[in-house]
Amino acid sequence: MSADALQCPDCGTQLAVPARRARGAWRCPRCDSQLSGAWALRPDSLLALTVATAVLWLPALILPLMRLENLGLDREASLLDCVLRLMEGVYFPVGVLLLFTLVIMPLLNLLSAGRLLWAARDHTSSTGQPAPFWMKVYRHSREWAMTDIFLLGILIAMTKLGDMATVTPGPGLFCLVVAVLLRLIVETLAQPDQLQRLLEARNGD
Amino acid sequence: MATDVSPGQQRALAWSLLIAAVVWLVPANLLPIMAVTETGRGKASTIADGIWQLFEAGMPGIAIIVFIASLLVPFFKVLVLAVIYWRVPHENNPRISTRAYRLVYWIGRWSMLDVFVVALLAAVVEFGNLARVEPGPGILAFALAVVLTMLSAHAFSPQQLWIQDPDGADHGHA
Repeated sequence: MSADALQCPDCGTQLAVPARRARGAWRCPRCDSQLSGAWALRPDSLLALTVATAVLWLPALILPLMRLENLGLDREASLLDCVLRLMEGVYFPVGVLLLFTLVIMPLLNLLSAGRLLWAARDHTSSTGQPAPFWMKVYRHSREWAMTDIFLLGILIAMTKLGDMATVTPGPGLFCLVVAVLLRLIVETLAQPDQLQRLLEARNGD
Repeated sequence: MATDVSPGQQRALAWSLLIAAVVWLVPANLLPIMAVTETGRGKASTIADGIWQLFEAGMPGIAIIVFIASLLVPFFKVLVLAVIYWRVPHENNPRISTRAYRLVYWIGRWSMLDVFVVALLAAVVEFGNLARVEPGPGILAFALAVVLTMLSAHAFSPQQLWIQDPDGADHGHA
């Protein structure tokens, strides 16, 4: 497909890419699917945000999210503890699902976003083609990485526990909040279709 | 995404995954999702119990969030998807259906909320005989229902809503 025409992913209409970028998001006139974000895609700054997320990611995984004190006893739990707790015993499948949505998919999201944004930078000597494999991984991981929902889960768990014990947020929670916010920024700005076109345009040069 | 299968096959797969999800929603709502044991006495609670407890504890805001994410969204999503799949052969307003599809596609993942809450509580409330939280069988059914609904939405592609031939006759069936 040439660089100035594309097919709408939702309704299959052949569309011409506008020559000059207008402000605001660009939508398919037939089915209203969003074809490009409201902002220009800047691979360099998004790559920097992805690296920052990656740095925070390991402490967010292994440092305690919260600390519970009750009758002189105390206990802490990290994200990894939650996953492992369900992986023991009969609820193993749920544990595997947690491992998939909270550990594996976020990791793949970081890797694929990093790989694609690296390929989209203007001053890299483009060595390979914009790997369709990584694009596929990126699209799927956007949906199946659920750390943002887990964050709301922490809030609810903490309020539920509030009346039976003293709950203190831990360092892991801080890392997780920042990591989720950074990932949200990257995902909003790096729309898969927009990134795909940028990569195709770079490869065409 | 899956371009190598015919629209009819694609829709059959989407339907079967959706029906499987509905089947799992029944035990998900009837069986306890967790059991709280305090000083030897255990108390199991279902999804609805958990929401009611939050209401009684004076946290209506949180209760409403949990109600929307774990009761309303799963049923609403299944219903909307069923209507969309049903209407495909004689779709007359694909724009609305595509919008509805996009909406349920993205809100469906928020149903995992309850699974995460149970995992957190089970991991952190572990004080031997004094107090502990154990996951219940309902959580397995609920997680399955959520994943199956997500996979069903995945199996369907909104392009099907737009491949209407002029006479409005059958497509997908050879």
